[in-house]
This record gives sequence, structure tokens and C-alpha cells, in this order.
Amino acid sequence: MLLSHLHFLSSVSTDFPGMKDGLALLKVWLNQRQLSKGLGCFSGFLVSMLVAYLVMKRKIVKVMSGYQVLRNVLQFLATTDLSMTGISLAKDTDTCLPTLDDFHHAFEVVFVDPSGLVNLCADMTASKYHQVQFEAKYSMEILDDRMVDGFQALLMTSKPMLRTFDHVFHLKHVSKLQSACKKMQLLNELMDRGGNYVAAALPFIVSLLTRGLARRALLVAHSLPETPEWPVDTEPPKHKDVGSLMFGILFVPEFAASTLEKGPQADRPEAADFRTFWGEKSELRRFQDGSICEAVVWEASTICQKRLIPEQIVRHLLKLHADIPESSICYTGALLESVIKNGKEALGTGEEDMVSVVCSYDDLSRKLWNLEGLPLTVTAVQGVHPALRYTDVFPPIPMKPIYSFHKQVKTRHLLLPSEEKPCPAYITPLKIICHMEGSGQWPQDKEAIKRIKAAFHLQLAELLQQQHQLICRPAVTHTDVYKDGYVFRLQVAYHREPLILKEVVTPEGMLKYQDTEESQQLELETLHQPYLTSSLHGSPQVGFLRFLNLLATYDWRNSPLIVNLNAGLTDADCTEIKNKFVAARSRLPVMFIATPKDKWNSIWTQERPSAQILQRLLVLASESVRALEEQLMDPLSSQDVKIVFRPPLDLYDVLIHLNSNQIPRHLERVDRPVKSFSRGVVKNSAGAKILFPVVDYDPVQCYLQDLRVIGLTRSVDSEALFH
Amino acid sequence: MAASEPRVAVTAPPGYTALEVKFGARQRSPHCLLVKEHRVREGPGDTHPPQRTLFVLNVPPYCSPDALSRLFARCGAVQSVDLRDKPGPGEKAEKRTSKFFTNRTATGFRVAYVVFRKPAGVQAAKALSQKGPLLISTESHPVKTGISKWIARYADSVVDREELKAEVDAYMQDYDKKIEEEEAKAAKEEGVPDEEGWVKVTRKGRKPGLPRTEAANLRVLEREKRKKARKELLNFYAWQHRETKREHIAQLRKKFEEDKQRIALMRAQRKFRPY
Repeated sequence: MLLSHLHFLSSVSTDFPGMKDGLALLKVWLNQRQLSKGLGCFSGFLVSMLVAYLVMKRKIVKVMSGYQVLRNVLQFLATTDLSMTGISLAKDTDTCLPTLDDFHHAFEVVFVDPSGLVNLCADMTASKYHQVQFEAKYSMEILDDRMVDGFQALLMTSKPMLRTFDHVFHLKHVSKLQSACKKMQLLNELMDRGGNYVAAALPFIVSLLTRGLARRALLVAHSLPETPEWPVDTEPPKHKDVGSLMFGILFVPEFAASTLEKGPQADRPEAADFRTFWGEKSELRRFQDGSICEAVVWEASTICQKRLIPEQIVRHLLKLHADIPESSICYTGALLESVIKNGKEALGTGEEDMVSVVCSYDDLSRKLWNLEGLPLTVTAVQGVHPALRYTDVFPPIPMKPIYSFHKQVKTRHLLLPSEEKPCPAYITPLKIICHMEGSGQWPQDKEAIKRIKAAFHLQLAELLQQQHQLICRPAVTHTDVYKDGYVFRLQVAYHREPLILKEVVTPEGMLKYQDTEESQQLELETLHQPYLTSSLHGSPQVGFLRFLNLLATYDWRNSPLIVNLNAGLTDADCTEIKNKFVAARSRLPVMFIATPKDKWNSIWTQERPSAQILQRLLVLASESVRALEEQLMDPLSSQDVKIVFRPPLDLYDVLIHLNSNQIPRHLERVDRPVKSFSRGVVKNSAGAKILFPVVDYDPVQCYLQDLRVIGLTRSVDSEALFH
Repeated sequence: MAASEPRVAVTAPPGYTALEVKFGARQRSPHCLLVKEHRVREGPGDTHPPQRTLFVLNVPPYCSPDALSRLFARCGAVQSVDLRDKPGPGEKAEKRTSKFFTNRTATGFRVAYVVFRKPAGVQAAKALSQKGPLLISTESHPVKTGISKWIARYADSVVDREELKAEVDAYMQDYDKKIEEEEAKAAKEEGVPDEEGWVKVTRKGRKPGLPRTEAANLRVLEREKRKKARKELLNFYAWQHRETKREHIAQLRKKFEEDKQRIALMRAQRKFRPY
């Protein structure tokens, strides 16, 4: 039979030079997505037969090139469904051959060979085929998108399961599938497979999980079991020697974390099905619209717990229907989140804190807009601090200072850190920019503008105190406001100021505009930073892995990184950016990032990183990816993900150890320290009539700054790096 | 380096004498200040007169002008001490240094000009190196470092509202007065010719001119170019036909060469190793 297949394929490939190239491309494509090896894989042979089928159906013509072959095959895979309507290479003349319907009863995916009797996809599960379909659809979209480099994305980037799926879990003890077969009554299928319980049980387990995660998951996929090689003179390996099975789930973002599974109404016959499926978790509940339905409610209070609801579902279903105990399942969906958990209880990852910060910020900005008595109104209020765009690692919590812990200067109503006690808790100022309306009354001289801004800060402090009873502390460049236990730092901005800073009068008396360092700094702070709003799609762990992978594998030297925020760049813009980049490469910074507001200059990376630091970064990223994937892929290992976050200390010449009672952010270390100090604040409470707490006082940063300045002025030839 | 060891001769760059100073009595290894006579003449109104000025290099950040003047007071009466980041000519005392609005950058190692009342002070300073290391922070005038320094810095950063308000108001009054004077002067000179008979064209008045900026200039040039292009006949003469065709072909050839180079570059850089 192999011989007949070989003859068939060679007859198709005569006079078809593009077929070889196309098949090579397709094999690379499959291999990058780990689809072409193992039991029930979409192998290279299958792809060749598929191309032969398309030639037969005249979808592919023999004069096509390799790229066109690739495109047509992907198109075919994306648009047809072989698990519903199979295809056949046999000619329809012989009536004693089994029909396609017969094949569909026996197998999940049907692709019949030229003889009409063999299903080439006999071992393939429907879920694996759906995964191939999904990838093909996505690849077609990438090929059609002119802004993305299709070659790089399709063929050069590998997509292992850890980076493709939001949550991944391992089934450690494959031998438990034997009992699963008994529980799910799969003895017939077991016989069909010659006693291979792994292959027999796998499709049913996957369909069980797909049904349980119906609304939440776009795709549930599994790894393909590969039998290891064995020497000729020993026994062949047993079925359980394929190692652990890995399953991946890709979520629909809106429903993935919902705590309710609503079933049919109680009096319908489907309700009984629902109850048997979910077991004792299903309860009768009454809803707001008056209906009484079967429902399953999952317990989760914080956002990070809600993200793990699919884990609860998976464990419950596998236990109930397949007798697989919880100890056999190793779920890796949220291992990295232990790094950002703060607090002794370690319940949340800070997301709820950020939401409350944003609420407080919204309230403050409303108050600012409605403030009466200002000579010019506030046109816009924009937050610049990372906590206000949900990206702060350890967001601030409301705090109230304890007076006895500090030194009080009564005459100035001032609280100072005391030298004898440990340093007070770090209160980060949440920076906000207030844009004032432009009018003819603003002076056109830069020193005068600075004075006017200072006057505004003073007046804002006074008005906020009078009208809203908020404690404020004005300064020359900003005003600090203590509200709800947080400290907000307001900065006034005038939109014409960067322009005025850029003014240069040439000797002839003509006014020219030239970028100065001061003007660029101001622009960065007031214009560009507030526009950085980000929204993360997918789960955080996958995002982190993909970020590290991008850092490590991107060709920074030869191509610009184009970030199309809010779809602000057109195709023409992209090609222009690329052309200008290639023409001026030696003058541009080492790492070039282009955004819609900043197409030619890459202002964020002008100063840093330097070439050495970039090199170190890339090496670090690739090592981290390797270490993390190793830890996460092996379910039997200790799964210590914190090794990636501990920096290696052996390459530094001098290590300076700091006294931990003067480090205000001591508890934010990667490995939580055992001892902690009371820092003179009451957490999660806000006072109304109190003195202003100590803001932005971090002895570690002061020390670091002093060291860096000394390093700069002292050593010109040796770059001293201080971390 | 224990204090009882015989003092190692410290090498200084040519022309300089090394002066050992220590931060406090407890410190063991001294720091070296490099001193030299200041010889550069800077012109009239010189704040650093060449005979009486000592040029000091490698001044550490914890050494303030007061500490330096106390240090050199034993050589002779000190008239002034000028600390700055880089050596350079002396500047006239500024009219108004505001407490709030100067750009203060963090200080590292600096350079100082110490002006004595008499030239003998300079020679005595050079001879100081023979005596033991001098102390910067003594019991009578301690220098703050570390935590106390940062707490003091934090305390200083809190400004007094009334003071700030007063200064800003004073500045803005001066500024407004200045602007008014300028406008009054400009209004007086409106339309009045100067000594050669030229009248200045300004934005105000009966015939306002264009703003004197680069952007306005470019706009005018652009407009002129467009008008000229409209009047030119490009396809009239036979030689014009030939010229345009030749230029077109040359440009195509140039673009082709560029593209070839770019593709060769891309090909050389491409590393097709997917796995």
C-alpha cells in the first residue's frame, strides 16, 4: 500500500516544480506549530496527499509556484471542515467501496486514499484537526495583512504550546487513563486501538473538556503522544511510556473568567443532561428575570482567582467523568503570578488596588474640572503614572502616617523621617498632568511661563483646600494632593511651552525652531507619556513569555519595531518608516521603536539602552525563555519560576549591602524576606485632618543617585554601572 | 592604609601639588585634592586674578565652599571661593539668583577657584602638603552625609507658600512692566524712519508684514517656486524632450542600482534557520 501511495504521489509531482517548494514550506509551517510529529499528527505525507487532492480538483494548477501552493492549501484548510464532510482521492466508480458516511461513523476526520479503503486521518482527533484549521485561518489573515512580515511570522517563529495557549496543563500519570477508559465505557474503542488506552481515551477526554469550557474557550488542544525509540533487542515501551500529556486552552477574553455557568430551565429535559454532566456542582437557582434554571457557580473573589476558574472546571470534570485524581493534573496557568503577589495573605495580584486608585483619580479629575476661581480653566487631565494605566507592579495602597514614628517640625507643620527609626513606608506620588487652556494671556517668555505655572500650583492648592477640604502641598513644579490615602502630584502644562523652548533667534533676526534638550524632555512628559495606554490581551503568563521571546529573537539591528497603537499607521507609513530606517541606520539609536505619534525619531530609546546593555538584555531574555520553558514544560520538576527573576550577582566587582530597615520597599523583593519592619503607617485607611505624610522619600534611590553622579564625574573611560 | 605607616609619596600630574584631606578623624585613607596656581588671564573685571587664585581639582561632593574656605584659612585670608562643575572663565555676579527657580543638578566631583587676599596665601597653600592630612568635617563644623543628608534635603524641598507667592508676584510685576515699556517704545517708533531713512516693517500698523520665522520664509519660497513652475514650458523645445527622457532613464537606473544593493544586503543578512 505504501508503494501504491508512492506511485500516486510521484505521478502527481511530475511537471510540477512548484510542488517541492510548496511542500517544503508547508512542512516548515507545520513543524513550527508542533503539528507534524506524534500519533495522529498532520504529517508531511498527509500534506502531500492533500496537495495531490487539490491538483485533482483543479484548485492547484501545475504551473503554480511554491508560495501559491502554500496559499491554496492554507485557504483550503481554513475554509473546509474534514470532520463534517470528508474528502476522498478515490474515483467514484466502484460501488462496493464503503461510502464517506461509513467512514464518518468510524472516524473523526475523514480523508480517503486512492484505493478507497484506507482513511489517512484515522488516528487524528477532531481537536487536532480543529487546531490545524485555526492556525490556517490565522495564517491566511497574516498573509493578507500588508503591515506584518508574513514570512517571519509564519515560517520563522516557532509556536510551542506554552506560547500559543493561554493556559496549559499536564496530565502527569498517563496510566490513569486506563481507569478513565473503564469509567467512560470505552472498551470497544480500546479493542479498536489494540489496547492502546492513551489513544483510545484521548479524543473523549478532549471532547469532555471542550463541552465543559464551551463558551469560554476558542480552542482546546492536546499534545501528540510520541513513542520513544527503543533498541532492537529489548521489549518495546509500554503505552504509559509516552510521557506526560499536555493540554492547551485558548480563551475568549470576555467569558473566560465568568463565575456563572447557566444551564437550561429546570422543567426542560435538557436539565437532566446538565445535571449529569456537572454532577453535584449544579444547583437550582432563581434568576432576576424570574426563571429557575440549573446553574453552576464558581467561587472566586479576586481577578487572579477568577482567571483560574477554568482550572477548577478542568479538575472537577476530569475527576467526575474520567476518574483522574487531582494529583495527576499539573496546571501551569498562573505560576508566574506568585512574583507580583504582595501582602501576607497574598490573595490578589494588585489589580483591585489599581482599580481603586483609578476611581480616586477619576473623582479628583472631576473636581479639578469643576473648580471655580481659576483664571484659566483646565481643559484636560491625564494620568501619567503606571498605576493609572494598570501596569504598576506594586500599586499604591491607601496609607495614613503615624505621628509618633516621625519627627515633627511644629512651626512648619511638617513631618520628617526620623533618623533613629526605620525609614517610613514609601508613598509614591501619582503624577497627573493638567492641561490649561491656551489664551493670549500666557507670556511668551520661558522664565515667565515657569513663574506662571508656579502661581497656578499655588492657586490650585488653595482652591482645592477651600472648596474640597483636601490637604495640599504646593511646590515650584508641582502640587501634591493627599486624597483617600493616596498622594497625587498635579503638574500644570501649557501646550505652547515646548514650542517656545525651541525658539532660537538666528543672527539675522529670524526666528527658527530647533529641538533643545529641555523642550524634548518637556514634550516627552506632557505629550507622549499620557498617550501610552495599553491593553493586554490574553493571560499574563503567555504575554510575558511572548515578550521575552520577542526581545530575544527580534533582529534589532536591521529592522524597526513598528507598534501600531490604535491603528494609527497606514501601509504607506510603514513602508516609508522602513525605507528611512534603512537609509539612516547608523545615525539612529540601537533599538528603534516607531509609533503613530513618533514615526522617525524613536524618542523613547534615544538615550538608552546602549549597545552593550542591549546585547546583555538579549542574552538575558533568551536564557530566561529557555529556563522558564524548561520549568513549565516538565510537570515533575519543582517549577520554580522565580529563578528567572533573581539577578546573577557574580559578575559585579563590588557589592554594597544595605541596611534593610532603611529600605522602604523591602517587602517587594522577589523572595519575601522573613523579617519586616513597621514603617509608621496604617495601611488601608485615610485620614482627613492630618499632616501631610512623607512623600517620595526613598533612601535607596538617593544613595544610587549620588553614586551615579560620582561615577559620571569621576571615571570618564570606564563606565561604572550601578544597580 | 593604617595611619601609622610612613606616608607614601603621592604622585600628582605635572604642575599640580597633591594635598591630602580626610573627611573626618575616623577615616583611614585620605583623598587627594590637586592644587595649582591659576595662571590664565581672563581679562578685565576678572573674578579670578592670576596672582592670588588657587585652582583646586578633584573636590569631593561633600566639601562645601565654607569647608574649603576654612581649610585654606590657615594659609591666608580667603576672599572668595567659587565652586563649579567645569573649569571656565569667571562670570559676573548674576543679577538675581532665585532660590526656587535655579536648575539644581546633583553634584559630583567639582573644581574650585580659591581667591586669597594676598599672593602669599597661594604659596602657603602649595606648602600645605608637607603637613598631615587635613580634616573637612570637624567637631565644630560637622558635614552631614547619608541618611541625615537626605532627610535634610527632603526638608529643604518643602517650600514655603508665602515666600514663593511673593517671589512670583514680584517677578511678574517686573515682567509686565518690561513688556509695557517695550510696547510703548515700539508704538512710538511706528512709521518713523531711522538715521539712514529706513522704516522698520512690523506686525502692527497699517501695513503688517509677515512674521519673521523660518516657517513663513519657507512658505513664501514654496509659493514662488509654484508660480515659476506654472510659467515654465517644459515640453516645448526638442532638446527639452531629449533632456527629460535622458533624466528619466538615469533616475530609473539609479533606483535600480539602489534596489539591487538593498536586496543584496537583505540576502546577506537573512539567516534561514527556522529550527
